[in-house]
Amino acid sequence: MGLRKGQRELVEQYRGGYCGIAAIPGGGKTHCLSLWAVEMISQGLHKPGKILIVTYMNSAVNNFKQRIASELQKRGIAANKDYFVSTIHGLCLQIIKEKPDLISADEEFEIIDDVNKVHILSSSIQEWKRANADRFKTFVDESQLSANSLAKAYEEWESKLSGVILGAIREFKARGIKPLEAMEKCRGLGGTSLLKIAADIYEIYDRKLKTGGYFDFDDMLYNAKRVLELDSSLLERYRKKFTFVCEDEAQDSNLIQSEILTMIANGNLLRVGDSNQAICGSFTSSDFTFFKNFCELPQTTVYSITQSSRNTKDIINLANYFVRYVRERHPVPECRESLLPQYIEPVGDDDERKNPVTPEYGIKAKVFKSWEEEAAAVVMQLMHLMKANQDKTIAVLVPAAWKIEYLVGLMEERGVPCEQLDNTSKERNRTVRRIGRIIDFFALPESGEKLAEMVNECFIPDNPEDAAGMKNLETIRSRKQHKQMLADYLKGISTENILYPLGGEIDLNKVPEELLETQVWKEFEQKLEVIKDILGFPGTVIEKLILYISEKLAFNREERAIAQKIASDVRYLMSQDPHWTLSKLAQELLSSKNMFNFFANVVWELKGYEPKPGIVTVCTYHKSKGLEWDVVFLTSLNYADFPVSLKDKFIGEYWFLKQEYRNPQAIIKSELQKLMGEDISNIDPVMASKLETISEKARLLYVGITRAKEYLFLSGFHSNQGKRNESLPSGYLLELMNYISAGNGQASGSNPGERKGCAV
Amino acid sequence: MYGLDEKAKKIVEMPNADRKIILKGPTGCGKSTLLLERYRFMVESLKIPSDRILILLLNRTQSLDWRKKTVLKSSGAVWRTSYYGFIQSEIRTYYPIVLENCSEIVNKQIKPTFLTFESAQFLVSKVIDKHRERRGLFAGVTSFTDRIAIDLTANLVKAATSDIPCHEIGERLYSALELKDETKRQVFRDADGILSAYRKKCLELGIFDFGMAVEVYNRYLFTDERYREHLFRRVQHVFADNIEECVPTEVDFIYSLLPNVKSCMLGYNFEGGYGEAFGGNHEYMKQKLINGCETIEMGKSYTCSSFMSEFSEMLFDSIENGKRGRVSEGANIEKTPPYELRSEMLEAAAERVCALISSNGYKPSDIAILSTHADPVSEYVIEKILQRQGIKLKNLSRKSRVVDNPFTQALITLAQLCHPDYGEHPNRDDVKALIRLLLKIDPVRSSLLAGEVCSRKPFAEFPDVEFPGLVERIGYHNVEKYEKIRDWIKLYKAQAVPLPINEFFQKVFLEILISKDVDVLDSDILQAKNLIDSARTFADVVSRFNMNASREFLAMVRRGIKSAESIFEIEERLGGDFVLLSTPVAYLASSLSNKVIILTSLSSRNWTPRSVKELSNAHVLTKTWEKGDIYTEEMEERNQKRYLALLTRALLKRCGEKLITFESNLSANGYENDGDLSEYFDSILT
Repeated sequence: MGLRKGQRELVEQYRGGYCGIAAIPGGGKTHCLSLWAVEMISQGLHKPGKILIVTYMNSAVNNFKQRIASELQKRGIAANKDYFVSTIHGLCLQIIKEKPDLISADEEFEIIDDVNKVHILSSSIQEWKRANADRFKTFVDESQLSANSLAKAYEEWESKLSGVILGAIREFKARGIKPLEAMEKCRGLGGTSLLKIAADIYEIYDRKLKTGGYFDFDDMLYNAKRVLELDSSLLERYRKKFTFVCEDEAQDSNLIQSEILTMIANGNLLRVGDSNQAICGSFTSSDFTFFKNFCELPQTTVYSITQSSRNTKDIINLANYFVRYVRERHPVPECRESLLPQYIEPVGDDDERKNPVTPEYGIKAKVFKSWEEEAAAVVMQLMHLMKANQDKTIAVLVPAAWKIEYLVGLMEERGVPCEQLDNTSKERNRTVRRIGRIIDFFALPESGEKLAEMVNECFIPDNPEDAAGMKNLETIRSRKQHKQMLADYLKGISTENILYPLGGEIDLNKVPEELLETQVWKEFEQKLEVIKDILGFPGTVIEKLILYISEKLAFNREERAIAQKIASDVRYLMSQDPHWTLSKLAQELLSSKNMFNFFANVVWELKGYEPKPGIVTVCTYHKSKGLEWDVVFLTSLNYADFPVSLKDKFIGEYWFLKQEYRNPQAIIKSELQKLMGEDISNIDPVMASKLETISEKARLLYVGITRAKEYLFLSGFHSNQGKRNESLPSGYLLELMNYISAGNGQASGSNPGERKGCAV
Repeated sequence: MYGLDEKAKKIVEMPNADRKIILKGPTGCGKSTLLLERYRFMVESLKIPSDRILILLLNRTQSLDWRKKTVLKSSGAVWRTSYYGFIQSEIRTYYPIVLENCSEIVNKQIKPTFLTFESAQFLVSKVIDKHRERRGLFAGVTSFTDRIAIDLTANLVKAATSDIPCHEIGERLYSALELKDETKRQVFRDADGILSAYRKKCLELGIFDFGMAVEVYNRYLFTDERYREHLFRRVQHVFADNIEECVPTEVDFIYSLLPNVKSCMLGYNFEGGYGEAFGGNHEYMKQKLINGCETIEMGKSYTCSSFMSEFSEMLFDSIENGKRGRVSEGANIEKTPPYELRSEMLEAAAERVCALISSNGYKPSDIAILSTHADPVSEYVIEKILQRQGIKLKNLSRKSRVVDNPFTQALITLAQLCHPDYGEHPNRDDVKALIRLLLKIDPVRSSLLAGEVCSRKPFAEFPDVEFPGLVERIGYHNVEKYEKIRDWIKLYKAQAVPLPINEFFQKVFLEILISKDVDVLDSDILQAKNLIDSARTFADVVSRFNMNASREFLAMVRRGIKSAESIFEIEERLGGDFVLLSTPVAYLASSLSNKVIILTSLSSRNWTPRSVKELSNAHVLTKTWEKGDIYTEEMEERNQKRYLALLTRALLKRCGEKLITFESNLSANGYENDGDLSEYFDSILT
């Protein structure tokens, strides 16, 4: 079975009780957990119930399912009912749906998507603000601002408040505090208590959710736990249903999740995680100490997986160096425990899967003069790489979503195929967008602009494959020009003259001759009938219109599923709010964050993400968790995103607020801790929050480094030197640059001198 | 019709004796046919006047079946009705007695009015809406107001048909809860408060919903000696079918008729009882009626093969009693492995239907597709695939909304344009659709005109179109047509007083929509007629509540109320060569059976709906429930299993040859399906 140290013990020895698997990155957690499940099922050791595996994302769910199913199939065992893989929210949904009446919910309750959640929260804030305009303003540092910038600051504050309150509500919910209870607890706090404000808004938000028949994701966890606590027979049923409970990525667990799984587990609980990869704490209520504490329980058997064949020895050395640096020399001593002394070991020579070897030293680092320069250099470098190594998978990691957009724009300009892992990426939203484009035009068919946009996005592909199936960059470029020409033409016309000319035929004299000769025009002419068919469809029943579009555009399996989902939801939406219009619907569909993201992603992830050579993956550091590529670019390693010292600039601090409120999230957290009588010693809350951020960002960088199998590029920038808004490269980048240039980390047996000047 | 055997013939041709008979048998044994034949014999051969025979039926589909089959040689009126229909007509006829006995009705000048379910829900939700936002009613309940209104009105019906006083509903439900807390107690108090206010107001005005009508009938009419004397004189014979699904007060009603009628014949399907969610109470019926009548057992089922009958019993046993029989999957039963997505599953089911017809020689009408969620989207997806092979599909479940029909939508849009004061302004999409329909012009030009209409301030209205550019784009001929409509609207708006909404629709219908310029299908005319009827009933009720009925009707229609249905439409769905799509419950309510039954979403949890809901519990609001008892989870589990067992057995008994099941791992919302039915199938299939 090819099992390594730690993996073997799990698969061969774990048969019950508490067990913790501490694994290093690339340790093959999914692999060995799947094998363990298969082994148990093969031997019937999971009876009388099933094995439950809870993991963090739908893609991981599918990954587990596929691995287990294929291994069972190999062994000739039909047992798809013997295991159940789910996200924690999927599991909670199941539990609540068993008895929604216990928590006074209608059985048709819906889980609110992020977009609607923000809408509801904003309107709750508005409602609160109407009665509390002065309290709202009191936090802004008016003395520092001109009248002009003051208005802007209020605006900014309102937009930031949404995130702050959301964090507070999450904290309340994580402690099981209901809105009225929260208000009661905060009664004694002063008018300028952020926590008190949060409690007020929590009450409004909760009321709005309830009358809308909604739960948010935090409610799901909280209510699932409540249902299990209230109903012992149900809990008993779940305990019987699942003989074993396994939690993947246990370092990102939170209190309620841990409690739910422990309750269900009935003693057989297997948790797999890596504390050094805990990167969700600052925006969820997760905390890796739950996993750590679990491993330290006397009754827990712990197996450690320390070997990995994912990365080259060079990269392993760099990762281990980084751990050591943080632990021994981090400039903020309080952050030295942020990474545990778990060092990655390369596999032995007898292992069937060996660590990759590169002909040259595969790590480079550089500081650029600006983000733009950095981005351009990264794209140049990866184009170069793709040409030289067509079989390599490549990823570029960035700290923020807007930078993804920027990079993708650059790559598209240069014809570099890329894909995003973001839920809201273009690729994943393609189906929703296309329907949106068509409905947008359908709502306003006299608009040449909308016709042009629709035709371009839905009817004329960017790069049709030529006879040989090869994409020729030159053809792509000229096609792009022709498409632009068509778009320019369509934007200026009265659409009825093209679609329904009074004489019956299009007056070709009015079409630019140049355009008439192109392939693009011919394709456009061919598609006119389809466009007219769609336009002619009665618009009164929108769900049918959507299904009709799906049919006319010959959607594939996944696209049809999405179209059907949109169609059902639209019917429901229209009955909830009769004032919905086609244009409004189109707007929703065209926005990258829309209410169909969740479902589109479920469908998308069924296919599973598999890095493909020739297509560059662009994603955030966070989204890269659990994945690996041959080549990885870690970009934007700057102070703002990877702070090292307490003096660094921190995200989450708002310059327009009075000094004492600059970090509202931290203040709320500490106010709540105080209120709950939790031990917070005497640490300044802002300081505590900074320490937490520094620690987590160190782990985030560690995750990034360990994604790379063969080549790793680290970069940042130093812009606006000497100015107030100067942006400095992160101290980590500088430290690692020193390390690389000193040649310390090169795997023994290779000669640095010989490796210089290689392809990288 | 099934040929009657000797035993059955004897029953049909009994001389006119004073016999009270229950025909007891399983699904498909020919009880209903026998009832019908006996009725025919009594009228035609025994010459019993048909207006002395009361026929009580379950629903409209049954009624239709009887209507078709009771074409009698004699010309007397056939007294065929549902329980609710009967009560309504009795209250209407004997209203003076009701008024005399019931002091709660204040307005005695007007005729009684009966609410449809939708109007009742509308009125209740109006009350809830007001209080929920302002007074924080139903705090802690995660549900929409409309949903709460549905639950509350349904509770009222269940209580009335089980003879439970309205003011006891909340207390009864609360005290049956296993887990009580103050929030929940308050929620039920809120519910009681809303209901009693609603009930009081309705009664004052002489308006009755189903529940109130039952209550008024039982308390103020049926207890009146004068009335009873009349009733017993009129009813000399009783026929009733599916007595196992009767609500308790109907059972009581039949029970009190028994000593007073000459004969009765009641159809009893002992395998039934899945209608508890709708208030039926099989247990109560058994207690009350079985001993008072002589029972004739009927044997074998004609609607399903012996194999299917055996399989259905085995499945029943497996679900209800945990017994494990084994049957091999084969020609009669096909369990298709799960698909990942629900959409895939629907498509595969449709493809399978095509193959059954093209390769296995089945006719479309041999096949029924049953889905717990037979929504318009599923319907469309399946329909499109069948269409490619020229096969038609009909959806038995009533799901279409008033606004789904372009023709009725046009009526509504015109109403909005003509009554800007009502505050329900049409949007551009609606105006565009209206213009397209009336002017018969292309979508682009319709949209251009709609833009002009909607850009008027403060309300949308048809302006003069005189800019040369625009006229040219629209075309002169089209502009002429446009002006006709514009003038019509102008003329209407010039009237001092607007017409009531139903009269307005009538006017538009006659003066505009059925003119030669507009394409009208027969089905459109029917829809328009339904709309006018609904508007009339609605206006009649709502105007008494000091609300502007016309405005409220327009608002309600936009919220997607379902369209009313005439008996013709139901009839159309029941006959013809098409594949049927239905929910299991709607299917069972019909008297249909099919050679092939396809069950979809087998692993969905919708097959076992929970009877305890946040505001209701069908088992507690019933006559057989002991006040003060606790409704435990074990009871719920047992009831769910029983329901599933009864439901699937009844369905399978309607399946003549072949059962095919489909399922998907993910639900329509993208979450894992984890219902039990699929596993029950697995446990007996090898």
